[in-house]
Amino acid sequence: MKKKFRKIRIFGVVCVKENIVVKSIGFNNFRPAGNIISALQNLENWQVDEIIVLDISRSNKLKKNIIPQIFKSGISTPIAFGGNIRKIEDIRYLLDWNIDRFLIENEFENKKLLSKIKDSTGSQSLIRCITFWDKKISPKIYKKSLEINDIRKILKRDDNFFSEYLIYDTQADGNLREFNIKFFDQIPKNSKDIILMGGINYEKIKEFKKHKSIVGLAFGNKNYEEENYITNLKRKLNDKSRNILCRNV
Amino acid sequence: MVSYKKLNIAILDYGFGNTGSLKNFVTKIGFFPEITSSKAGILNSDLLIIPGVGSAVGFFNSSNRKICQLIKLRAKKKLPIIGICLGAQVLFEYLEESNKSGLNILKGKVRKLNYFNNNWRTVDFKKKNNLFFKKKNNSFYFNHEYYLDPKLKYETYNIKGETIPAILIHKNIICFQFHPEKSQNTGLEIFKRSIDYFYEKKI
Repeated sequence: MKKKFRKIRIFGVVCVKENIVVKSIGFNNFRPAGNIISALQNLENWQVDEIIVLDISRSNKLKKNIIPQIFKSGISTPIAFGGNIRKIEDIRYLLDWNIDRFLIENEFENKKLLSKIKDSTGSQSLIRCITFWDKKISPKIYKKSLEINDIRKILKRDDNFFSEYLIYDTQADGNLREFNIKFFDQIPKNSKDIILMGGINYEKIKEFKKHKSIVGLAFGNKNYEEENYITNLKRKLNDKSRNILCRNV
Repeated sequence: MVSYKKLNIAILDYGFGNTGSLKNFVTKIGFFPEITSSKAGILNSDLLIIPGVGSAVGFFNSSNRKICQLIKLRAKKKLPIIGICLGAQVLFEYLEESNKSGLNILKGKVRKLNYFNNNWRTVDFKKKNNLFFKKKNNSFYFNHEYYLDPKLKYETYNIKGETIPAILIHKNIICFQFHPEKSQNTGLEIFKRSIDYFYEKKI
């Protein structure tokens, strides 16, 4: 059965560092932006299509203290969680707490373990998170520094495990610049679905729409800068499929 | 007849289902669900929910053999079951994902799409006077790679413009290919109506 349908999804991003929601400026400076529960509830009220919770605290194991707060928010919007997922038990733990999609970072390369995770959760739950800084892909964690041109290799390597890719231009966070669209040339035409994050500008939407693999746009800081940004964006996208509610603040 | 408010709802724990989301969701409706894999939980509950997320390979592993037998027994007794995504797919005869037979409670196969259907899609409720007809907003969250291909003419409602069943109803079983627990208010409404279908029969 061939894919007939294509609608760009809008993702709300909640970036968490050391237990509080932060606004990232170029992934160098972080400003506090409230608590997890209210951030998630706001995104649900604005009717985002999906939510990404990204724990950017540095750790070599899953930070379990923030997870119950996600559950407490009581929202019924799909949540993907990323940050310090290291083993299959972490995924089992997250499933118990209202999280059902998982962002697996680029340095997570153990194919045997990936295969085990895929057999347990199914590929539809797994998203590969590819972050890049300037023209380098995850330079701080990757053994060998990869260039933006290597994105094709990564997409090919991971094809069996993931349903979607989140491509995160970290340096563009906080309106420092726009998302680097140079990498579009590197994406094969038959690539799996891609979600873009970091410096996404609505005005560029026509350019994003040209590439058939792009199925989602993720917004983090915009939600704190402009009230009802997502609601307005969905109106512009002419998304009539769901009733868009505005929260009176 | 069981009192509606005192319904004992069980959420099946088969290892990698999204039990947390479902517990959160069912609690929101006003029930106190139990996450269980016990014999008593599966056979004696008023409603058994088989969650989605996970893969058929994981579901049919050797450690879940007993659970599979208990679900079959429950279906034989004609007790209410709601299957969500993978939880619906395992009820069928054959699953392409695991290349094995399923629980064989519903007739048909589960086939692979050549893409991931991850999005909010509209469900086409063409028939009047059906269980869900009154709803104005019919958009639900789908996240799957395999789809239901039922053999018999079950009551089905497809994704708008496609032949993929989104809802299948057969006697004591309701299958959702989408995730009502992740479909915000529309999901809540359709789930309430499903419980009504089993226990109030008002519609």
